[in-house]
Amino acid sequence: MLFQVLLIALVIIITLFAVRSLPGEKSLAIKRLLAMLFVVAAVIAILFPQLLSMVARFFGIGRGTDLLLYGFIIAGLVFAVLIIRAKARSDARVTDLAREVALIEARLDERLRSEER
Amino acid sequence: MKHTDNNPLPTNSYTSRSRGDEVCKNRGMPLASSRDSHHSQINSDVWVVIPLYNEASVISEVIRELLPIFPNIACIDDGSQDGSGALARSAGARVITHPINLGQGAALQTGFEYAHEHKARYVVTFDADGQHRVADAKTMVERARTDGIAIVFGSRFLDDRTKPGLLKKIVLKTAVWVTNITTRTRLTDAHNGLRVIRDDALAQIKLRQDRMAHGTEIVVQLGKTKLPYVEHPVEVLYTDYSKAKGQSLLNSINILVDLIIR
Repeated sequence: MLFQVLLIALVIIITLFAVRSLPGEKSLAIKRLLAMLFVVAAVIAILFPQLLSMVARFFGIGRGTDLLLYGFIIAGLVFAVLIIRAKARSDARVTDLAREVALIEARLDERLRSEER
Repeated sequence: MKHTDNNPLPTNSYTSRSRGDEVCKNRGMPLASSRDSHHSQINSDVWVVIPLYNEASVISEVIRELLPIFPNIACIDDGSQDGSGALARSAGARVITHPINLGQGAALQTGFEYAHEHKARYVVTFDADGQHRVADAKTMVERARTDGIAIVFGSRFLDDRTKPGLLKKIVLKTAVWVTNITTRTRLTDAHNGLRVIRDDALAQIKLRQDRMAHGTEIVVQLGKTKLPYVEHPVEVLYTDYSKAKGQSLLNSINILVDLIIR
């Protein structure tokens, strides 16, 4: 019982951190709704582990913990893909920025040289 | 893959990373003596774009050979750590310096935008390591002018001057086969750094792939322009220098994977 209380507290605290607005990030209503659903589902699963096993058996998986493991793996993969894509977008922006810096520097350099002449 | 202490060459330059067939040997052509002022006058509307990354041992020589034929040279120093940029500048090229290393494709794109700013009619892409011959670039530009061609690709497989190893040949041929399937072009050599691109074709190119396979990306985008293109036989000079840099085959695997997973 003690561990269940601890888990529920952790889930709520982590989710609160996750939905908090960060500078530069858009706070999406959909994301927050999903987070709320996640908290509800997590609390139910923690309080009634048998429910999870029932769902698992419905899908033809032996135990609730196995279902949790598979879900965890899928979530991990999705997370990795999202991060990689976000990084690629950010890299493309850095490339454009660095190119602009290089071209501005070249323009300045040429202006200085033509003034010297 | 490891940098060995007795190897004086920077192991981390474009050519070792992206292709690895390169060179710096004196070619047998007396280029400097064969030009006349007429040509350099004509080529004042041409910009040679050279992506430059750690090629201090060869870049000065490459620029000195190009200058008599092509007065406008833009070197894109992609964050070299061996002073390549300063050497290129003192050899007579305009140097545009990326504040951080972005990759060869990004360097080409920067050069394209710079050339566009300077109202270039033709852009010649040229490798910094001297694997290309200036005479080939010169005839390619002449051919683009006289035949009204928008894109001239260099190909090492149109005649038998270039002698790549068997394995390398297989890999390059596979690369070009995949490229031809995935693009609308019919080429014999997809990863040759020597190309001539006219301004109307250039305006339609925006290279996004920073690190690898920009050779493919450029073909894909040029193919979409539907502008007239030809392949022109060029010689790629393989020497001991290229072998010292090595890892060409591992990079060929990269090229293939990038081609298939796009």
